[in-house]
Amino acid sequence: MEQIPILKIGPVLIVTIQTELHDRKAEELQEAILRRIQKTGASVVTVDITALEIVDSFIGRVLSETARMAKIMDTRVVLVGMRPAVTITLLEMGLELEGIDSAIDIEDGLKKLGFELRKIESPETRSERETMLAGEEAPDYGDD
Amino acid sequence: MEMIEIHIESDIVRARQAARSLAESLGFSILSKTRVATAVSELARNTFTYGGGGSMKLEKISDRTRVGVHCIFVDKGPGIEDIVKAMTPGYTTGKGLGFGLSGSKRLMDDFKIESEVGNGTRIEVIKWK
Repeated sequence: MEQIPILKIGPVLIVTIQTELHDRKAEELQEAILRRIQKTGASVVTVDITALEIVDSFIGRVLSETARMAKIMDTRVVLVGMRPAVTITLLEMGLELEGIDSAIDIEDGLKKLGFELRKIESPETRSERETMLAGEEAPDYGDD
Repeated sequence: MEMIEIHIESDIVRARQAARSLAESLGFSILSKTRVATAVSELARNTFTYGGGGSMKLEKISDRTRVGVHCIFVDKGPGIEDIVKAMTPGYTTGKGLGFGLSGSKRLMDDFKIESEVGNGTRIEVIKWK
């Protein structure tokens, strides 16, 4: 089974779910995120669910549980990219994703948490502009 | 008509994908497709988790004025002792949230449940386009 990648940029972990999430995989992802938080001391985790066509009560429970567990480890989880149809369906079912923050996309999610995307001049070629992530804390570019 | 066996966990995904693509072929809106796939996911999980496995019969249904998705879930599990309780939002005997039955009832147009202790459960749902 292919693994869902967890990328680290400074104090932020970025998780993008790109495949159909079946139950065991959702639980494995929860464990992987928590382990990665412990290992890196990340302050924020963004979980991008743009690709998820449905979020049922099981996946919803796993996501909100992950957020609550991360909070105990002093890490915030932001859910990004929930499709409108998914949001409406969850509400109609009477489900609340307790303890979870959400945002339209990763940029919006990071902005809400006090991070911003800044354009910087590349030191080598000034004309070449790059977009990099700037956090409140000094970013850590080393391998974790 | 399509019969989908629900015996391993990944069958839950197969069931909801099949229901979604039937809804899609019938021209359901994105929202309605999502409702159908979500409800089927909940019910297939119940069949797998509480019913000890079973099957889903999936077919197109139509009357004079409309078309819809029709699903029947059958298991030979222990059955549900108290259906009223089981249909209450937030009530669960397992590790779920207790929104499987009540939630899928809200998402579908027709919802019929029959259960006999010791003989299993049969749930029939319809979503009209």
